[in-house]
Amino acid sequence: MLRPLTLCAAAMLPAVSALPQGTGSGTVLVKAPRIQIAPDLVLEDEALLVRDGSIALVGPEIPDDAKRGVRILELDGTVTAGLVNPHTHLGLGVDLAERITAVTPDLRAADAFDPFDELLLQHAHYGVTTVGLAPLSANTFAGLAATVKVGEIGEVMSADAYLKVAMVDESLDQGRYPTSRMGTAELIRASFADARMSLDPNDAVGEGLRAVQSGATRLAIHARSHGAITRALDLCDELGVEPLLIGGGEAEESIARLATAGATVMLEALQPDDKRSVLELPGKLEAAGIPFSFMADRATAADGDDEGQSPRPGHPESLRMSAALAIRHGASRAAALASITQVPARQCGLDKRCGALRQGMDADFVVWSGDPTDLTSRLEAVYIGGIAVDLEESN
Amino acid sequence: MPDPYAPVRGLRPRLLACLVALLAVGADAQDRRGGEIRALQVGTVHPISGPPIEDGMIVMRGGDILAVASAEEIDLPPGVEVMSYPDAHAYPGLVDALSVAFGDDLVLQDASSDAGTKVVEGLDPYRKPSQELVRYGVTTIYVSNRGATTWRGMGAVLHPQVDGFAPAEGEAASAAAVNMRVHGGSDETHPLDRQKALRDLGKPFGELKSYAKAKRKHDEALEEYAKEYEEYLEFFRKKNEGAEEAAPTDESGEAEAKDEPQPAEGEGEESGEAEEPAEEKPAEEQPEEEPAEETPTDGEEPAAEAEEPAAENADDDAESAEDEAPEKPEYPTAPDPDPAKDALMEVADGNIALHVEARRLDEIRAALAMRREHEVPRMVLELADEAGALARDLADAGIPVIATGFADAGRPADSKRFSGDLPATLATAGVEVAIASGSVRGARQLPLLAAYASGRGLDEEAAVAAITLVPAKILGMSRRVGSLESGKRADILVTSGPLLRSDTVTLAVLSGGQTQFEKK
Repeated sequence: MLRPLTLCAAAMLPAVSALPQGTGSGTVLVKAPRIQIAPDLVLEDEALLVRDGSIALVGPEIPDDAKRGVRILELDGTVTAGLVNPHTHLGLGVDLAERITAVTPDLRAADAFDPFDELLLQHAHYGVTTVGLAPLSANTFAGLAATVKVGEIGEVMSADAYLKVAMVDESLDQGRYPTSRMGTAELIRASFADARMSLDPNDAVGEGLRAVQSGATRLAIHARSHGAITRALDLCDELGVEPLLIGGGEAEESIARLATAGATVMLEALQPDDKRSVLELPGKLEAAGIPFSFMADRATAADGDDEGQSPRPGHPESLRMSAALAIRHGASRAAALASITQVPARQCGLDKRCGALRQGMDADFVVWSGDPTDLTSRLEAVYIGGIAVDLEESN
Repeated sequence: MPDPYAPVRGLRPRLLACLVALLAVGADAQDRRGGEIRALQVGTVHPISGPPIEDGMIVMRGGDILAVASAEEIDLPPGVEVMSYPDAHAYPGLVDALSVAFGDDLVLQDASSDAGTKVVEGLDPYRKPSQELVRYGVTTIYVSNRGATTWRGMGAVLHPQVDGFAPAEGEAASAAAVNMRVHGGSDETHPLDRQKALRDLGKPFGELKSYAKAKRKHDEALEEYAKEYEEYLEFFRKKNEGAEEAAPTDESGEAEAKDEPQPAEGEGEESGEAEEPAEEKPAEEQPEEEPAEETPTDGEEPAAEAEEPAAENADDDAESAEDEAPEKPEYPTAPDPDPAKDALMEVADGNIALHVEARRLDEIRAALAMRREHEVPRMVLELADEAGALARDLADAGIPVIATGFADAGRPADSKRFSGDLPATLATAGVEVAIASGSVRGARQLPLLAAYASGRGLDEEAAVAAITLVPAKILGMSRRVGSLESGKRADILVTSGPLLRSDTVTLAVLSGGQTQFEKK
């Protein structure tokens, strides 16, 4: 049942209903006063040529004859790539937590995916067009994250975006090994050593870990504290892989080492109530040349009376809030926009498909009334694969 | 960037008539009516009470604003210090109408309070994070108890400073409003249980009638007492006069010397002084058996006691006369003092507002029902997540809303309680909306919260007013803060760009004319 507030909210977006219903199949020329094809590159009064859900040509690349006879979609405002939330559990909760066994690198979050998850469409309503669906940090080798294109019916883009390893307290369990941080470190070392030695062709665990060692699968390590970050960096050194940190709340102390190792970080979404050191971390990472993204994976604020409930899924709106807070505390606009588009796309291995508006990429784009990193800017329209999302069905 | 303190001379000689009148009196920077004259020149002044002024100037005297106008229209007296920020924007200092600064959980999460508890008495000016607020442009806050209890006591209006806080002028410093929490129980409770919890909400207002009646009765009794006492004194005065005539000299002098509780400075020696109306003000030095708060005026009783022994000593034949003396009137017993009820009576009389936290729809409805039933003149809603559905009713009833925690960001994505559009929905219906932090750290991000509300449909100007003028009005402080106008406190926030933009930084903050922060 629609609540009255729903109707009010819908009534406040009259511009949306007036927009054309998308590009659909075929070729469409998308024109806008400002097209931000990448975080640091804006085309003014230019166009994108969209063909069959992908971006065929961009701005000056489009020859005049290609513009003739095609359908034209005139948009008003700033067009950016759809936002990317690189690490979320949507509403799946326990379906993404394997607590009994600590080493499950062969588990795939894609296997728990529900294409009709309501939160997928909700993500679209806030301009997020791609999400990384990751296992919870309930065990050490948590499993493979999937990437999902959101919409009314979600679609798995890849089932092995990154292998998530958890070096946080939630991954410990007094009922099984490891029960301590040192146990975690030992287990990780031993598991990789076993995988190297394993000759069993049916050893799925070994195969999963060997894929990390060979560089075929990206490794993402959930680590918050300085100690855990140090161990994570040691592990990446040993394996010879580029570090990708999830969380990284205390990364400030390791900035120099992160920069040297070529690390990237998925930061927890920022909140207005965060400590100043947390709010200033993105600016410091940027200054050190460390790419960072924000993830809206769990809610930090209470929802009135929900004390005692299990962690709730994070709100997609947190991404833009984080970008704005990062700017207010020292990050540049370009880095802030990159943190919710280009960087998370790259971290999920999707840099050829989303996070920017380049030739060959998916036509996932969002129309804003102004700069998306200003919270005063309203979301006017969302296109996924060139098709407009019906925003009026939003709550 | 030019030196912001470089003195600016030779401003165009065109004068505004009103400014001539204001400034002509000051021959130099030190105005003879008190306070140094200083000026702030900025690229754009946003007074909030009116349209923006390009190349604007704010002239201050002491802690107050003397004039706000275009720099062209102001001719400053020589020697006036001018702070100059040619590309900057100036806004009034921000007002946070729901703050928990300068207090710990013992004070601001107190569940043992009643309506009369004064939060200001437990605040600590030395709390570090709170001292930072002014650096972010927050110059006025309303601090209230957020404890899990229905009656949260009276909140205080303070001006945060780098070294603590300055209390607001007048009553607002200790008792700006009474805070109340309407809570029907958690979401999981049975609807009938919630209904029961919400039904008796306004009971304390109902109980005020008997308390008010008792107080009124006591006031009347005091008047009666004063009258009777005067008659009682009169009897002895007349008798003394008769005695003085019959037996003059030393005896009466001796009697006067014995008068121990002589009222100060010769008060009460004349009979006229004793006629002071009893209800004028409560006295401190009173007969012990009387409760201190409800006792009659100074002068009256001591004077009476002074004269009584004199009368006894004056006349040897007094005994026969005393038989005829009227009976000494008995001081009326005051009703037990009850600060909680006193506070609620202030609310009922409309002297202070009632701030009601009601999040859910049923709780908001219960608050509105209480307001109707007990005719609460000034009610303000806090939090009010689901108030959007009742926007019309709130607008009709003239109930403003202090919106806090409405940003969807940070809420659970599967939350059934949605309120990102709340400020816009309310404002569209004609409800006055203030945006507040509800937390110490959150108060640093007030402009961001306003920007968020604007992105969700609230007009940008209304969003800025929602963190300046509107909360000032809601707190009853708009005569002093909330906009840049002559006569108001010189609370000024100077920023590098428009306030709601993400990359705008704070350049300087003045509170009461004092520079509290300046970006190096």
